[in-house]
Amino acid sequence: SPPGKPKLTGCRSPEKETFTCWWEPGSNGGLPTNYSLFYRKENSDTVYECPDYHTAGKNSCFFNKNDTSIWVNYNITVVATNALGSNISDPVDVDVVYIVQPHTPENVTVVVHTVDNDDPFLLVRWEPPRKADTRSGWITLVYELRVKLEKEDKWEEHFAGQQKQFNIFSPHSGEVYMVQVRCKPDHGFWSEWSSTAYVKVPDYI
Amino acid sequence: APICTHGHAGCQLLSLADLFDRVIQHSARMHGLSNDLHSEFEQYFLPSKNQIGRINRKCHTSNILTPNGKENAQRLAREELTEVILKLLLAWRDPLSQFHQSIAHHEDFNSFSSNKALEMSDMVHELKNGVEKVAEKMQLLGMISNSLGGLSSAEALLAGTSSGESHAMSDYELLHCFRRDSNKVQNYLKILKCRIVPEHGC
Ligand code: NA
Ligand code: NA
Ligand code: NA
Repeated sequence: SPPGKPKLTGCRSPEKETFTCWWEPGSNGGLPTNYSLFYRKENSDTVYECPDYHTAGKNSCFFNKNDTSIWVNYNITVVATNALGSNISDPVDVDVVYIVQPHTPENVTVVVHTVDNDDPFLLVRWEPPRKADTRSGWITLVYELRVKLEKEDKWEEHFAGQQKQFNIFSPHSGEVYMVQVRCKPDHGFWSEWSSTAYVKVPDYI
Repeated sequence: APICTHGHAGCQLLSLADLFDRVIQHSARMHGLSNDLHSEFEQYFLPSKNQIGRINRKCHTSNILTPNGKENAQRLAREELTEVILKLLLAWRDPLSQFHQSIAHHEDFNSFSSNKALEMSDMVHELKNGVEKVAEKMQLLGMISNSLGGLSSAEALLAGTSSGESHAMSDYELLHCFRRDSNKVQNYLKILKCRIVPEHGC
């Protein structure tokens, strides 16, 4: 039989300069089925085919810098075709500004900070994801971190704003802490949590 | 809060970086309002989201050339980027005021939305004043040339003429266009700030 209807599952941009769209194939009708992604930019009748089916893996289309415009809506559809016919997905409309999901923050470190006789605290530092150009002002990120005792299950979350470091006061003596950080642009989605940074608090009285 | 005007005591202390942060915050708030209203329109007034893509829109500000993408925005001279921001803000003053009038009389719209429209309309005006202050300060500090004059007469007339055409734009299209332009303004302000005072949170 002809292929089932494919479904565009979403589009994401890690840095507001490139983006990728993914789809789920419908049934293939028991036959070899080919999938093509087509797009049309706002206020233009020209239809283009996906420029790169390979870079982002199976069932995806990658738009590099030259194929990415922001403040322009892309109307996107996927067509499934086999020997007995074809089927087209519902269209999806995206403006790259609103689909940004950054990569995770990098180089997350945590140390026990002690100054003289003051109580020690945990000093967490991180860097923005390398691909996100925060230095030019093109993208602005806010950060959130979560902390837990290694032996416990419950994370405690803290919002750090645009800062790239955060202090956690009154850590328990002799315990191991785990810290992760994630980031979000002003009009987009939270990144995944970063890899975990660990710290052991020394025994103190 | 309104942005400090020149003579006010206590405002002398605001550095250029502080001024930038204030206008950027202001632009973020303004864009947030346009986002909220845009979602409300999609939720309550448009039966099928899929139809939205088929509306062929042309914004009344489309005659203002705006850099699309990071490299293009960075290539523009500081003066030119400042002018683009000011042109966009000026071009929205009258249409937003008409938009507020229009939805204030719209029975389906609650007063909450109407207040947002009013706030948005006030903000575009305040933001334009704020960016003008930033531009003055940049000129005083010799960071941009004094050649920003083009806007005063000829450009204002141009922006005024094209805003007349916006009567024909539906409220939804207008919101779509403003949501986009206010995002551009926010983004260009951030780029400008990071070029002028890169050591401040960039
Ligand atoms: Na692919
Ligand atoms: Na940042
Ligand atoms: Na933005």
